Amino acid sequence: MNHHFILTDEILWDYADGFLSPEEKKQVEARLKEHPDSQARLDHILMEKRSFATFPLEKPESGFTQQVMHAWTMEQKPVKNASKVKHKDWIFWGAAGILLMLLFTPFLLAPDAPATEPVRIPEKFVPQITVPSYDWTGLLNSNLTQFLLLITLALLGLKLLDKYLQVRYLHTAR
Amino acid sequence: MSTAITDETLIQQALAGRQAAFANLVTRYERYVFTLVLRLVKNREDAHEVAQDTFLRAFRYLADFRGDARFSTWLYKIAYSTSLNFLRKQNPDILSLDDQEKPVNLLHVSSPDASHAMELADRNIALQQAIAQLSSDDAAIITLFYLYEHSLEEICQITNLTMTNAKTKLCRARQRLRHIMEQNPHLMAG
Repeated sequence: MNHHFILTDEILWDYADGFLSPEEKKQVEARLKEHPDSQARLDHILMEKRSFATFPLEKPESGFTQQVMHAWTMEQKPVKNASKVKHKDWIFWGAAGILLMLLFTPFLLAPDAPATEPVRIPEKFVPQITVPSYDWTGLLNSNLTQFLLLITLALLGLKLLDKYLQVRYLHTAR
Repeated sequence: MSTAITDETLIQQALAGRQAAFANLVTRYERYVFTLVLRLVKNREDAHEVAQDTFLRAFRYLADFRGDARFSTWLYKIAYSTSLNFLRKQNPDILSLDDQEKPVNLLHVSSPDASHAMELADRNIALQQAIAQLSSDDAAIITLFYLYEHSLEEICQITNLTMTNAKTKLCRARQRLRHIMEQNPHLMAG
């Protein structure tokens, strides 16, 4: 902006809106002092600007906050349900663990089960227990055992799939 | 706007799980968000839905609010993008609000008896009519700058416009609004 610029409405609007640099602002103010007609135009612009700031705020329907909060609470519910399901999961996983332990107990009690680490206990503390030898091959080879094992594995697989779908649903719901 | 409890305090409380803090934020900003959304989508029912969606999105991502801008700027950015998404769903051909060149006249939407508003000398309704005659883009930028007193930089954050574009759009919107208001001189503030 040079010293011979013309105070257009555009410059006056920029001045009113605060878009001018401090230097440009000083130039405009100097010009306004020299030209009362420009000052009158600026006053009109400022009046228009005030009008723009008086546009009334729209009001949403009554109970808007309650509706938003209700929607928010509903959105949070799957998470709460998930925590309940999680709690139930412990029961299921516990039961499944016990079942698996029962299934594998014969292997643990088998006389030829490999010891992980030898433990030396004074002989006087070692109770004289004789583990009855039993031929487990019959039990392991029985159709019923294999069927139970298969069912257990299938149930665990289904539960795992269910868990995965739940997590995916919660992820997409967020 | 009440500043008894700061936005930052309410946000911290909300993040800690206090439902009352969420409700407080909604109450504090519902009219601002609703007004901005209505300027964009131009229909009260749709604006209601989009404003609600705005708050839900804001709550979901509240933890991501870093506080490097005003909360209102962040919230209006969500309101703006949610409205734009809504308009794109309504009309997939819309790529930006510039495509909505044709202003929508909402006289029948803003007020059931709006056709008699001038006769009734209800200045507020008449002002609403004036801004409703602007395009979505123009109405939003006028609202953000003159009514919400957001700076041009903040408007750029909200709308993803460049400074030059934002300023050009503001000037253009202002000229259009002035033209509408000049036809109704009593709308000018005294």
